[in-house]
Amino acid sequence: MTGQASAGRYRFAFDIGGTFTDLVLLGDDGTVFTGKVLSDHDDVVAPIRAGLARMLASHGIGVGQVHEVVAGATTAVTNLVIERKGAPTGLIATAGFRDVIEIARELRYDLYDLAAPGPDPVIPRRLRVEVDERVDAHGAVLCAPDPAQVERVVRELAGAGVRAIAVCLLHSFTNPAHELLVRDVIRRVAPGVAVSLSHEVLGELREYERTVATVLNAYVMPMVGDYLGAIESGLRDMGIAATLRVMQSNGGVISRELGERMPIRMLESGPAAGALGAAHAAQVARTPDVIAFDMGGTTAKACLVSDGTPAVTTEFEAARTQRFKKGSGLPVRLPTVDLIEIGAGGGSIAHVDATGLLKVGPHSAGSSPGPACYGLGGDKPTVTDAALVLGYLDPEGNLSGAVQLQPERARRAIETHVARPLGLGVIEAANGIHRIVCEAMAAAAKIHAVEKGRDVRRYTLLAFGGAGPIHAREVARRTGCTEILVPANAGVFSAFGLLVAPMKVDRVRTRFTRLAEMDAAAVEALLAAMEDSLGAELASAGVAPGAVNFRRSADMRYVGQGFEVETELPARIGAGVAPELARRFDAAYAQRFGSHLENQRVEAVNWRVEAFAAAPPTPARPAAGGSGAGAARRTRPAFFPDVGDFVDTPVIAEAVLRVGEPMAGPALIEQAGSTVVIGPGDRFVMDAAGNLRIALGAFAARGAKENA
Amino acid sequence: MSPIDLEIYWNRLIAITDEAGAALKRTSFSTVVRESNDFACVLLDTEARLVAQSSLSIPGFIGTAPLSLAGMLKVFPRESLAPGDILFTNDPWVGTGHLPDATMAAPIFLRGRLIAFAIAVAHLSDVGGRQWSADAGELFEEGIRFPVIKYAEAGRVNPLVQSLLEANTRLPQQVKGDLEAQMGALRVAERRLTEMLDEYGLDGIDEIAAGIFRASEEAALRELRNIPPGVYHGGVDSDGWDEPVRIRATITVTPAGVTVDYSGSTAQVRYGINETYNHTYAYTIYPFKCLLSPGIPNNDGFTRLFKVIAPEGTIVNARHPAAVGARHLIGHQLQAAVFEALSGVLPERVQADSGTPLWSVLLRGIDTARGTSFSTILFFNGGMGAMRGRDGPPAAGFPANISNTPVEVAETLAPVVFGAKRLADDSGGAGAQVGGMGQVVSMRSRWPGRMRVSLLTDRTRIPAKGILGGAPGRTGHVRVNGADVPNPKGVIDLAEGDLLELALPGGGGYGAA
Repeated sequence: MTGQASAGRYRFAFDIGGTFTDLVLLGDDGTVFTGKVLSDHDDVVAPIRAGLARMLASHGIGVGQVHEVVAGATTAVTNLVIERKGAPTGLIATAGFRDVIEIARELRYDLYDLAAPGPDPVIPRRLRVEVDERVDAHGAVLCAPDPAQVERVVRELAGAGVRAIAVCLLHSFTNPAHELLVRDVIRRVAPGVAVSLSHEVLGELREYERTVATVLNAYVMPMVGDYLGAIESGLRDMGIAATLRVMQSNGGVISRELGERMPIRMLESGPAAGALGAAHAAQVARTPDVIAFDMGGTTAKACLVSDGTPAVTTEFEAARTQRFKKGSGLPVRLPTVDLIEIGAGGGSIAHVDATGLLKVGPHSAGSSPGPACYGLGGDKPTVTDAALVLGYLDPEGNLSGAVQLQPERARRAIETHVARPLGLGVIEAANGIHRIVCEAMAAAAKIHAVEKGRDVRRYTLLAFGGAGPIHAREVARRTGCTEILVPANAGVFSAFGLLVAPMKVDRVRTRFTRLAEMDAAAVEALLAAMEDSLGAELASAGVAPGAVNFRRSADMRYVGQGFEVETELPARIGAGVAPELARRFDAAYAQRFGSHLENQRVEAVNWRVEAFAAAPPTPARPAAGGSGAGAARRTRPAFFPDVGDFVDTPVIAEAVLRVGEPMAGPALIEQAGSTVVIGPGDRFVMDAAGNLRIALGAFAARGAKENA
Repeated sequence: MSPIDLEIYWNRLIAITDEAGAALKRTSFSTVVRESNDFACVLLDTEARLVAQSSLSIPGFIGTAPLSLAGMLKVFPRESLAPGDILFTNDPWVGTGHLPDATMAAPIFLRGRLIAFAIAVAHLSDVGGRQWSADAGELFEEGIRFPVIKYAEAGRVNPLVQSLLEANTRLPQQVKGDLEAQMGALRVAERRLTEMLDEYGLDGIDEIAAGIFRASEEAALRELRNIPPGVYHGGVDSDGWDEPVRIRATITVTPAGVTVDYSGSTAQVRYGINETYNHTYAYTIYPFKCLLSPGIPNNDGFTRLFKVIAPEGTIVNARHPAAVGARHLIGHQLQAAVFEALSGVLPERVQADSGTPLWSVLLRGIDTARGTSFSTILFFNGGMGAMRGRDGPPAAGFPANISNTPVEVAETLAPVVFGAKRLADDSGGAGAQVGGMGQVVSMRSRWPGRMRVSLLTDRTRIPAKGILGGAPGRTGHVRVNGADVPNPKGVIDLAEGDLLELALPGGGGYGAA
């Protein structure tokens, strides 16, 4: 994806990862330039400036042509929370309730492991203070706060050295007056301290969850402010006067100012950007329904993209104490792109456990010592070692020069730790590792889809990440998907996702409303007010009023249930609309659970509005393609589980594939950073955009010949 | 069967029960099902042996499904079952120990042949009878009881059963929804299992089940053999209704298995804190699971190693028609007797007693003049016991894993205003490792009439013991307007403005301080 520089305007995005920062320049005419620099966690801006300057110089673009910058600063915010390196933060709570964040929901996430550590409460008890005040569930004031007492506790916290204060008062989302009063006192008494108010961060019922979101927001606010400030001034110093925007977890970007006020919304911006990049690739390939399957060194992630939109959840957990254990983290109930993640990446270690069965992951050899075949001191067999033994990776390969692969070490590790203990041959053991990983991913993807009421078999598997294209075929077979898409330029997906993301803000308000007794005018007023304030936020971020779209929804349930199903609402709530809302809810419920219930009353709990403005369109640029694979007849034996044996398989460099030329498997397509495994009976073609599209053959359906 | 195939199939079977469980949890109308995982979805083989169980279930369901299914098959033998049948009971002696738990079982057929059973058990929103408390004198006061019946025959729900149930509950709409949720879960399990077998070209689960049982049993036996064979004694005492309840456990460990004998425990009592055998069995297996194989999913391969002897007529195996509504008050304490018995031989794994059982407070008000009413159940947990290397966590659900109701939700559902919900300083027992703090909760009634409050509490008189030299935790209390409620296991009344204060007990300490 390189092209001619033009005098046009450019948008620039960078995604700061743990090791690398990816850079993308996107011209208004669709021209794309990419770059990669090493991240520097002491000075995040320097490598971005250096990399950008290099890209501008080598493509003849002037700094004045860059009119917008989008930052994906995900690891910064996430690591502050995981490593508990946020600012010293205080909490102001309603009298009697400062321990809410420590009592949590009183649940243990592991029923049998009594020593399993839970998350710590982020703010120690000495920095949690109380104010005598009370609002009831209807918003009525039972006890008004005394400003003098508020001032006293604020001074106490300021004296203890806090840089941020979270304010979480009971029922503040029904009546925010007391939180606003506390905010005013803080601004007066401790003007340098960052403030986070619970009704603004998450206007939703349930004090523990609201407190967590508010506390985490406060906790990272001072650092994120510094960080965005440094990025902005660093870019300004090199002459770029562009608007700075930041990516959020919900799959939208927002102005720097709003990002700074709500940094908690940036917590999952990296995965969100990846999902948006995948959604964009799917759109370019005209396959609106895809499972984005990203398999890297330590984990595999999947995100369901339906009709071009990545799935979003409000059940995200931050900073789990055990990464793959649900419930071991802190709940952040803000809209977040919904990814499933399992501990199965290229570096995941295979071992025989106490039951005498083969397990793969979640422990990973990572990149150091890495898989046994890297020869860097790792002697445990990994998923990558299995892929090498099965012929998917080039035995002479050197992973783009990083390490020289050593197939003999891979064989030995599998032999010692898997084959011998289980009484299997090395190939059988390697195939077992491969199958177990792929089955785990497929099962996770199927359950994920089922939970959303979707049939995963109708989706195209969109594979990326270093290990994604290697495992995609086996995962697809096990999920029942019949098409695989390996997108062009997957290496900078996340950074590219930043540029195709819409501007987006959203809000939630809890107001219990039984449909049968609904006051339509009051609901309309509530939603209209939410739209007004969201519209104003987008306007302040530079979006023209005409460009703003709204999406309204409500979390609804049958009266008596405790889980809600998000239901899309019509644009206006007028008198007599209740039956229509009930119908919509029934349909959403049926999609989720198979059928809806009869003769049950329906209520709405949370009302949601999302305001968004689409990113500028990205014109597609045709791929150049190569001269055809006809001449390149290198082969190597690769194992195909459906054949049950090695097959001599052509090895083709992706660059030589001719656009539009239909090809038949088996084939191993070598691309920068990965290999695409295509089986006997499959058909494939490189499309006009440079994507590889693979149709699994009938032969690929699992037969009785193969047990699993 | 290769170990790789077995690994894949085993994970699939668990995934199937988890998917069924997730569907049940999300569609249920019962607070305790959705907030507290008071349900289980399981797959059994045709011999009624547990093959796979949903991961989230609370311990009250460990190993009870096989006992329930065996009881059901006595009434409806296998040859009387057809596709689409659903067996049903809430009999405490066949099911899980009290009437609110509905046990539903579906035979699963593949190409006309019975290959497995699926069971869904869940707590219903209401089954009539007295307001949930421990003060019933016999079972008949606690609600409607269904013996083992066919709830559905060949896919058609029996309308008589449905109307009988609806006529005998305070919440007919919700109970109907609960039962639909359970049937939905059974359909998920059935569909997914047959899909899986078709996909892999298998004609049943027997071979998979045998592999699962063998692998689990061998792993558990290896751990068990680290315990010196011998006879070990443990006990736990608690408040009881009017006089203390004594649980005595004699544990015999051999290289082949474990027998737990509750002889010497208190006789069954006149109030609803009696256990049926099935519930005792489940809560006896639970601590062993924690001690021996916390990482291995539940199945018959593990449970077959245990024999539980509970003499008939004792509080851990009451005779019909004993009242059993609040049987968890005793069941939740059995773990302490097991841990105490094994503290000498597994000092690095046992845990001091906790501020158990969980406390529940049911608030109910009826205003017939205005035609309004409400009914809400709230749960609170005391502190957990300490163990080597870790202090007891404060306010945590143990052994049942029951979450609290958020204060903001509770105030939305019931006319009360909470004054506090805070950790109780210094309530954990001292020791090398300190017991978990209990909590103090207070609430004031805003109901303009008489609010009826059912209290299910314990450890207001007898504290949670420490272990291996640790000190006991602090006892709890229940007060109304500052005055102690002498026996907080019954129903009390609150007038408008009355303040109810609950202090939950702390957990015991570990080792000498």
